[in-house]
Amino acid sequence: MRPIYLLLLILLQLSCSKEPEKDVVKENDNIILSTNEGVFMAGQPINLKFQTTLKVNAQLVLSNAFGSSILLPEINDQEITFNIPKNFSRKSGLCNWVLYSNGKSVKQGSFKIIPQTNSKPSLETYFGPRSITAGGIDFSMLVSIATDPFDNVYPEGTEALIKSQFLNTISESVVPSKDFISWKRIYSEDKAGRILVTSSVKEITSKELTTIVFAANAESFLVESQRNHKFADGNQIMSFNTNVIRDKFDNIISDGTTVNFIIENSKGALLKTVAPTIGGIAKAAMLHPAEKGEWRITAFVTGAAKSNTIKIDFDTAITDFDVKFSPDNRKIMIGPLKSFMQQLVPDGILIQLDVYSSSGEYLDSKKITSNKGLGTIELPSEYYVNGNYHLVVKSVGIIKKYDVEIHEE
Amino acid sequence: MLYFPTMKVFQRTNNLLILALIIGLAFHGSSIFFTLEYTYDALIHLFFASHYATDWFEPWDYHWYTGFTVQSYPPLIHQTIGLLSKIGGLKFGMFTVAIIGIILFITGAYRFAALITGNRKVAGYTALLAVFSSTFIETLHIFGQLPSIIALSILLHVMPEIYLWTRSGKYRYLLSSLTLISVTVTSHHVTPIFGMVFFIFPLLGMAVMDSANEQVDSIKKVSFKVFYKSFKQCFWRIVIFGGSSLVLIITCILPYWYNSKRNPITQVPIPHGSRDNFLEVTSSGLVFFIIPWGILLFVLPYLFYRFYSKRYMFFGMSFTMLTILGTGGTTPIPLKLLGETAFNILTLDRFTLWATIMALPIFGEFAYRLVEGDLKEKIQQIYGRTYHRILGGTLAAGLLLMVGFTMTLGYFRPSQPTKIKMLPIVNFLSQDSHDSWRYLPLGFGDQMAWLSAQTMAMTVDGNYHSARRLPELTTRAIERIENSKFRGVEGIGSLQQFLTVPEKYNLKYIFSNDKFYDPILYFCGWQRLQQLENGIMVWEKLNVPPLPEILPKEDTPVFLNIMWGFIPGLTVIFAFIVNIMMLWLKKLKERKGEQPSFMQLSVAYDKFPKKIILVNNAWALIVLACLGYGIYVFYVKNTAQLSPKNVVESYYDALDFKDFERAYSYIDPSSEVTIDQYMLEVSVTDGILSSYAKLDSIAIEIVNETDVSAKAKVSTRWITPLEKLRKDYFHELIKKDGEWYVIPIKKDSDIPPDQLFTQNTTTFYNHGRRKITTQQTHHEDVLKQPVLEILTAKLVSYQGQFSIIGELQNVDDIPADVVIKATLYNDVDKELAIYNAKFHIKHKLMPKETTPFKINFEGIAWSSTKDTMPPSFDPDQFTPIALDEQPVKFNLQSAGNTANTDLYKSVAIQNLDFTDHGIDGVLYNGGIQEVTIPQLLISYYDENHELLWVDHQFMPEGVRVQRKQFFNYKPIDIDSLKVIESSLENCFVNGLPNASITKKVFPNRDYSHGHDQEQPYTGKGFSFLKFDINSYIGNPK
Repeated sequence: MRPIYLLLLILLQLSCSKEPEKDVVKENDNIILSTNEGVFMAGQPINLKFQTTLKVNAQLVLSNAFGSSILLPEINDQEITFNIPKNFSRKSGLCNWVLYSNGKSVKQGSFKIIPQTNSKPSLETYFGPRSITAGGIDFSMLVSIATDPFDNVYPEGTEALIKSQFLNTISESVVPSKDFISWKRIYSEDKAGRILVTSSVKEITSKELTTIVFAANAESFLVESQRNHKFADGNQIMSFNTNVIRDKFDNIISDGTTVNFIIENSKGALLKTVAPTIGGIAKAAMLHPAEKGEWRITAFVTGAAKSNTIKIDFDTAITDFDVKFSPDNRKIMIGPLKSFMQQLVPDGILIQLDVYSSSGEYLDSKKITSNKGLGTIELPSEYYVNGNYHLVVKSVGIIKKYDVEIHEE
Repeated sequence: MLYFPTMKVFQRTNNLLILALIIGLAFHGSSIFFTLEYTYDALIHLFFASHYATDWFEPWDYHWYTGFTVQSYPPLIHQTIGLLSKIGGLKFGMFTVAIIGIILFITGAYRFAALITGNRKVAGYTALLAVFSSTFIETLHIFGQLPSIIALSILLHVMPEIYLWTRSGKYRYLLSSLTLISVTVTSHHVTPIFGMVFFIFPLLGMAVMDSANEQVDSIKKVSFKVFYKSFKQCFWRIVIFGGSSLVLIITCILPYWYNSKRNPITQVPIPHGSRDNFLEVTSSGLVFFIIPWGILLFVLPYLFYRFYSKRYMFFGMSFTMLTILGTGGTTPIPLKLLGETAFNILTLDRFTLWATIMALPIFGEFAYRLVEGDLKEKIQQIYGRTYHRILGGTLAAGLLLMVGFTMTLGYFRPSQPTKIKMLPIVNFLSQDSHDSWRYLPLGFGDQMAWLSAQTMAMTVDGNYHSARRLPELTTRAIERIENSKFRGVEGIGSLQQFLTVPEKYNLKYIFSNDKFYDPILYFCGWQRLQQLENGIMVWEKLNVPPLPEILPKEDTPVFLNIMWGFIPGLTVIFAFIVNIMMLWLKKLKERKGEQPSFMQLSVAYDKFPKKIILVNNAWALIVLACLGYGIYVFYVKNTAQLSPKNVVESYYDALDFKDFERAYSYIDPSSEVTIDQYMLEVSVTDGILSSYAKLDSIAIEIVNETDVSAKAKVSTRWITPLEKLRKDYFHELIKKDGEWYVIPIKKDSDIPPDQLFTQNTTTFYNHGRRKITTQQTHHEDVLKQPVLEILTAKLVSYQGQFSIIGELQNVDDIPADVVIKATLYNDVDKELAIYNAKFHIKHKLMPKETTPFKINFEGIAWSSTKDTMPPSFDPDQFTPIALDEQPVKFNLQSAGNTANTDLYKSVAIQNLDFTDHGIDGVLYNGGIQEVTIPQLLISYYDENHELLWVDHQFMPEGVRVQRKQFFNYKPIDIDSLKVIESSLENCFVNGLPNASITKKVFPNRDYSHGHDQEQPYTGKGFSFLKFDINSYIGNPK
């Protein structure tokens, strides 16, 4: 469909251009621009006037950076006046015109519109990113654009006064606009904090804009631990905490920074607890192990910083426990489990009984948790026929083995 | 006073009909206000109506399925509701149409019965029975199929006209038939098409039979020859009627046919209860067989006896056919009759509906004969008066019982979630330009249609499955994503695809009315936004672009849209003029008319055959026996403690349905667990198994069984929103007093060390917008995107699948929500596949926190509908994308957005033991939130600390505060894993190259820190492991 329209349009054009050339020359000579100014201020009314002796069917094609339009004249005797509409007269920049008479271009020219700098400007300012890192490498950029009431950008070289405040210093600089904008990079300094900036053109000042300077990456730090006692009872909270972690400029690192505490136990397993920092300190909690051993703790802010390694020893809390059998050996009572002061252990110590046949074949495992220091395991006759069994009791790292004969009472 | 085209001649209006209408309107007219909104379909029609109310001529609707055409459903009812909504709102329109439907149905039944039996009394009885017919009640009050009811009722009205046209050849009957047929067509397309076959063909047969009857003395003398002669006489009338109705069926809803041709239904069929074997799936049998047939079941022999009399012979055949087709998958006959395709597309309940409607006149006749006719005399004569009264009373009671049962079904076994107040959701969507994104309701049932009708916002889901367009939906047998949990893993799989790649459909908000979906939302990277005042939780996803201003649509020719907008209304106007106006005019002119011809053909009810009484009595006994047996089987199934297996099964069933009191009743009474203790123990366990799982299958292996004891190994498979979980349990069972019991497993008696403790945490708050404005968020209030750094990224192939694995870190000073998208390319940079990280990543990272990630490239299951679906779903089945070419390169786009929720990191690895059967570990929750679902992310490294693989494990139980949780993880064998490409070249963060971030933010990164945190482990194909923990908190405090 489209090519057909195009063709029609071309045909229309061709059919229109069949006027004799003579007339054009005549009209060209007889239409004279009578408006002399070539520069106008935005918002000022603009009238383009032409003098002619002929009767012409005049139209003016007007175009600026925003678009084009066709204007019809006001004809008064021999004067043709084109009133430039507001949407053209308010936009600064070059405005081209072409005068058509009877469908032919007879004259062309241009005029310039300059921003209305005599009235108060309005100011657009942008500042970002909203957060940067301390250390003088990272920066936020302030961009300031002064415009006239019709949103025309002030001419090149318009000076913007940019002020920034950080800690106790307020700095100022004058930045002439280039390519419409005035801009300045505000670099962070060594300290963390908040930078406030503003800009002003003439008497107009922008509002307060801000960026936060976060501390740089963490530097090596120390780790320490707190615990109530040194016994491996599996039921006390111990906590690890760091000292105040700082960056190389001595700023406290930002809140929420993740610290991984890696604990290597005696068996070579890497245990892990994680905590975010508050005020530079991360504090994490773990339970005491249930078996004696040594923990080696190192903390990381992964990629940035590592702590010292501390060693913690845990002593056995329960040195031994009794295992009692009922007369038929079907009921096994473990305990009382007594801790380091001969007190009963808190509930929940894992006790495991592995049952093997007399020939050493694995039959079953029973797991219970202690209650009031005691654990009772039954071997009901429904499942365990009378006979000889090899029993292994495991708890708190202590292993006890028994060969028993179980039978009916 | 009511006027009917052929009943104008009745001097008196039938009292029974008036009674039926009064009772019908009082009963149905008032009860619809309590039932209709909870039905399956009514709100869908309401949604369509809202479409027409907004834009009458526009067929394209953007609300559902990213856009679909409403020309996929005949419009009359929707347009009527839409028009009425201008008076009193959408619901006013819906109820008005429903009331019109009730009137049309009762009068239609009356006219149909008058036509069939030629007896006004019988017709009156039929109208009365129609009011209480359980099939009608079910269709209206449970299914809410308004178009179907209205179309069927008008079809009943049209039948006398067709009969009279065939018999008399008067063109006014043809005209009235055709005007009514066109109303039927524009209401519901299936009704006239199948109605032709099952109602109108037998009717024509009967008309021909009657005209043959006229030529001989009695019906008995009608031979095939006579019949054929009459048929020849009527032939052209039949052809004219048939031809013109066909033309009407095509032209009245031409846009519908145009659309079905253009968008043929190429979908995986959705399972429907009416296709089940009713003996196996008893619930389907109840809904699709017992309820619609109701009391009619007891008089089946009489129905068949009457339908197979010579005059009704053709109806008899049609009735038989409908009855058989209505039995669904119970017998293989329907499948053979309809063929595979039709069987899987049609819902077979409509056949039962038609059969029961067709039976109404005969049932009316039966009732008449029982109440005041020859049957009454006969029974009194044989069995005495008392028996007759008891029988009558029992039948009436049975009828009322069925009415009560059907009406209250929705109350006792709700098919819908409780009514949701939509206003808060509607307000939420219209605030703050939330409707610039699509939303998704979860757990709304059919009420989602009501929400869609009220809001401008769009959803990817929809409630009219024939119009589904997205491949994620059409390739799976799910009708809605909204209720995907009821479609098992298949539904969850579909939902997961939408949740993992929400930006594909600009999906940003989810309204969750069902806690079940919460874990999957969390692990797919969604976050809770707020709880609305109606209790609906709003979830949002960050980094989803808003919808473009201009959305694609399918254009239809203007003339079709105009036809669609005008024809339905015109058919009603024509039908009104022809059938009612003309009659009024006539009635004004003439005082008397003649009886329509069929009224002269009534049979005398004087000799009720004794045989039928006996046969029917016997049949009723059989039906009763079957019912009794059914109830007995139901009872036996529920007696749990007969065998060790039964008790375990029942125990798990009770646990699955959270019926803990019942579960407790299976616990060994001599174990010293009180019910209070038991309930307490149950209530404190949280986790995916106890809060979010549905038992899918259970295998019980009984070992060591003796007379009094046994051990059971119970292998359970649970469907959870995340994946299928398997868990084995061991139980000891004991028999006491002839009943089996489960010996309770002793609970962990561990007690936390501290009663009260303190914790300082870093929490974050984001204002959203500080400046209250309806404009776009002020640029000063737009936060910087947190900077991430991708530390490693690799394309690997493992077990035939391609995955991108890697590790990234939040290198900013604020918490980040991480979205990561990978694209695969072949060696000539042709794009092969795109996917996002699902749950192999921690989506929320604190400053400097690292996370491993893995992106699997998931295809759309059975993406070609020709692929046969696997006969049974393997829950863990993952559909890897089918790649034609070998991927060799990849591109990673990650984006950070400021996060301030779900930042709980206080779960520690308390212990690890390396054993033969894997790694036994202990988690410890040292913080102050109860972790509902802990997830382990396990990274595998080679001897050079190079990342090889990322695996995950969801833990079935939660970790409570200051408590431990045990886990076992078996490292996998990754010998066969192949690293195809390892490069950070095409990795981008917030649109910037990753390398520039490395250079600027972390120039002096110490890579040994990562290495120091890896656990040495001698595995197959790897040397180091690393555990990360991601915690889902169900109820954040």
